[in-house]
Amino acid sequence: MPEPSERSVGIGVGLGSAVANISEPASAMLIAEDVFGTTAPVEGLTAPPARRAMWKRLGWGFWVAVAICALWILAASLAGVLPLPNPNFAQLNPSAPDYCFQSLGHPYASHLLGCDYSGRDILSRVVYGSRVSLIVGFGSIAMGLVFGGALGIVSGYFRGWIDDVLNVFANVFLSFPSLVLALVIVAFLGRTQTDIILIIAVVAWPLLFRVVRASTIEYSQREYVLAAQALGSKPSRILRTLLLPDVVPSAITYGLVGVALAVVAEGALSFVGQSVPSPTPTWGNMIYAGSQYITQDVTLLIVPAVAMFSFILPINYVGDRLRQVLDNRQGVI
Amino acid sequence: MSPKRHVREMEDLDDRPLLQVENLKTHFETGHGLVKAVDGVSFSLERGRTVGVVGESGSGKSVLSQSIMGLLPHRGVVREGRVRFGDVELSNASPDELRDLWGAQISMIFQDPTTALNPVVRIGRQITESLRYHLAMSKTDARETAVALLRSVGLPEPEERLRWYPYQFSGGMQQRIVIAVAIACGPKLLLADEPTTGLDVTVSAQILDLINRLQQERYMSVILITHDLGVVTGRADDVIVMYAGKIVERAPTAELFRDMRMPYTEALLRSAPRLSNPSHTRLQAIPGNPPNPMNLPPGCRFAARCPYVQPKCIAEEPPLRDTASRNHQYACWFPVGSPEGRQALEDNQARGVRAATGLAS
Amino acid sequence: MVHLVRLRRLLEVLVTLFLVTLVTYFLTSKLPGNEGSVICGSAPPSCVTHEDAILYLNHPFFARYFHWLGDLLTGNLGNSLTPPIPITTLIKQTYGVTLELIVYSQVMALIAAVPLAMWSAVRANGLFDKSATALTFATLSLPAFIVGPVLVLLFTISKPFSLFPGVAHSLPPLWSDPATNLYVMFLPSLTLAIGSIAVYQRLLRADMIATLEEDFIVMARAKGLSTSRILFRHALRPSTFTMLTVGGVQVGTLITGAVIVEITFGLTGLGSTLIHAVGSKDLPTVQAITIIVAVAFIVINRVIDLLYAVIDPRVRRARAV
Repeated sequence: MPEPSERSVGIGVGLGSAVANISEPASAMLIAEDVFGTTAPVEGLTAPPARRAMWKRLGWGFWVAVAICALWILAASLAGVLPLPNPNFAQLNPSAPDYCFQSLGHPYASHLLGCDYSGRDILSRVVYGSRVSLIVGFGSIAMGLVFGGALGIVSGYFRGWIDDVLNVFANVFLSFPSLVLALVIVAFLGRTQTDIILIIAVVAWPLLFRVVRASTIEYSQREYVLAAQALGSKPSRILRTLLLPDVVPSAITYGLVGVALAVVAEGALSFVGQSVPSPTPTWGNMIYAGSQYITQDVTLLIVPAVAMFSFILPINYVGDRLRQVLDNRQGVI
Repeated sequence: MSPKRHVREMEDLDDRPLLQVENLKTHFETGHGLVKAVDGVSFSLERGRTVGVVGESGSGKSVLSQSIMGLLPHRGVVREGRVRFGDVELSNASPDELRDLWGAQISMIFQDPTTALNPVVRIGRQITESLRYHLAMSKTDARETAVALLRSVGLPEPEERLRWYPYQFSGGMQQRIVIAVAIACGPKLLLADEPTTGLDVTVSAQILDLINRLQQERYMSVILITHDLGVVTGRADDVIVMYAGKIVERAPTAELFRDMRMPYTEALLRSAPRLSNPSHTRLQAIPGNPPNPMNLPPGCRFAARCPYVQPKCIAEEPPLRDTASRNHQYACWFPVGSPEGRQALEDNQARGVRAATGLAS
Repeated sequence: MVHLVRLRRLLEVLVTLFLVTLVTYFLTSKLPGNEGSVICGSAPPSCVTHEDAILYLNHPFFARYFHWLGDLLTGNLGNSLTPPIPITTLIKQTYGVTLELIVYSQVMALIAAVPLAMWSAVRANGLFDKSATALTFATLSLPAFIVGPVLVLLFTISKPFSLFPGVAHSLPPLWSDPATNLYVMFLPSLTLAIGSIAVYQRLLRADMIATLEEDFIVMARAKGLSTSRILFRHALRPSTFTMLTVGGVQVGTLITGAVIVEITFGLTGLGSTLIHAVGSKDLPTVQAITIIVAVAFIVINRVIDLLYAVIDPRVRRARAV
């Protein structure tokens, strides 16, 4: 992998090292444009070899984790199309072939993982439950990233009084333990799926704000940003073209870890009975129900627990690993 | 507290030297190659004598001291050769045996006193710790000894300051404390690894004087490691000059300065600024850099920077040879002050060659 | 100069506290089903109007807020709706369980995490370290509401392990019957502890690895001290400071976890009370518990900030310079 020094072009006082620090060709182009008034490609600043090495460096475990997450996303999206019985339907007729009322988990032909205490198919409920968890998880983090991320960049780049005000604003929300805050807002807002997404976004945004802010502060101190400032580039331009390409990937990796936390948060909410109301299955309320029936049947608890764990662990790993590799790549200097 | 520890008492050494190093090699296995930090060093040290080890950064002198003591990790480190301390083969000793010796018989002081002391432990504790561990002293005895030690290293008001933390002291004071910690149990050998590099000049002199005084009071042997020839004048009995992992000259101090043979030693001496020089005298640095320890040249390792260099130097490595006086050795084909050496120097100057880089043309 | 900084921090804290109370009040004051109707139930409408008047429900928002704040600051938290007892009493009865859960679990976590971290740090990247890292990573993906029921399953149902009671049938207070209390609280605290162990182990390990590379550790070795002594007396202390900072943030996670654990194990603490209050739309109780918890959280974090400066001599040195 070519060392940064090999890529440096003798541009001039102070900018030589600044250019050497650039890992994104886009940013390099813009420096060239600002300095030379030309968009002619500056030699030696492309990064493909670094990118290829990065994908390899992620490791096989990473790709296994990605596959598992993709599987869940697929299952959640295609739930309606898959040959699953209705998750909310309980066959009450004992002589019907798909009857498994009170069987509490013992596998029947038409019910691969058995049924719960009300006679509803467990496998189907787990798959449909993934829908709620995933939609809430990704949705709330997406919202939180947009809102918290935007504020974070502004706060981190401009500092000063805006930073102080936004920090206090975020701290107010961070002063509430997450579940407590969520519960209070649930009482205030309601329990539809959209409400829950919003609620978890409110709980998550301060953390994303902090992370993006820290990231922005770090990247704003790179020499090429200082150089661009010295050249008189407008802040909006600097933000858009120099900082975003670095901050956004970083924010996304934190966001992935955030998705895991959001899924857990939704799970906690539904465990205590304050998420989307029955009969909609969610992993959280299935786990709660399962915990009540431990003495009769263990499957009711284990199946949703394993399902949830098998999504959270991989996505945690994906986000974490991406962040490690990204830090290595961009922290080379 | 720790159980009573047996301190190994040295049998009377008669006239055997305290420390004998035979052909010590220390190589590090890194991902890029084998780093030959110390590559065949031999010397011996009598009780109560000081030897100065002089060399540039990267000459291997710090690795030498840590290797003698056995402080280096095992993984990735290749050690050859023998180190004898009195009756004990340090090179073969078990970790337990080494731990018995460290602090009690052999001690080390480090370059940077600000990082050598634990910042969150009071200095009194840092001293009494070894006393109670090695010598099984009671709390009160240890405390009194610590106070005496601090007084003997020149720390004012030692009783109150036992409870202080390291950050409350200046650099010079911290180094005194480090020395107190090191000599607490009365070791016979003290390895001082650049003890004055981080300190300013006046403080340095005080510290070196302190080490000298302690050495005489306690009949300690000292290995004084430094890059500054000026440090060893008047303080070391013998001097060893190291370059790129090998000894290139060894002599009693006075003789070294009076009759140096190795061009490197001469260059070192010349590069030191002197108060007696008129102001704005140009400093004579040694051009170039030490060789890459992973890729050492076949001939003399100093050839690339030597003003006396000849083709023979690049091809063959000079062995360590004795002079007429048996305790002066050097390794050079064209030593300073010899007819061959003078001729070599004149030739090079006539051709305008400063170092081996010019020879190729 | 220093005082200016301290004053500023104090101001920030006060402003934050103020805003926290405002936000809490705002969020909880709009509960559908106003208190009047809940209290009165099926009583005639005049009852509702009466209750509403008592609760200032007809006044503008900020007037209500300041009244509430005033009550709060004088220690009057009002009455809960179901059951109709003073909230202060309710809190007095229940905060002990939550507090005990948190303390007990953290003690457990530290006892387990410290040796694990030390061994991982000493044999960094060895087999033990790699397994520990993998295990802690997996544990971090296990929320309390999975760990809790699974622990109940393992320890109370499976015959060979039937050691601990699952759902707490009766919990004697700590001072009157410590043995039974600790026994009953063991599994719930363990549930909370497991997450903390993972966090602490990772932090302490990273810090220790960094500390073990410091010069003073080499010096300690050169003094001939034994490995265990070096680890415990020299390496451990400087490495604990990150844990202390994180401890503050952890409290928030712990409170969340405590809510879950109280529900799982049937304990009556602040958490379960809060859940019931939310379920029954008991606004005053929700308000009160939220405020207490938030304020406690803020105060604990501030205290830790101050402690940090006192405990770490290096920070003192930085100030002295």
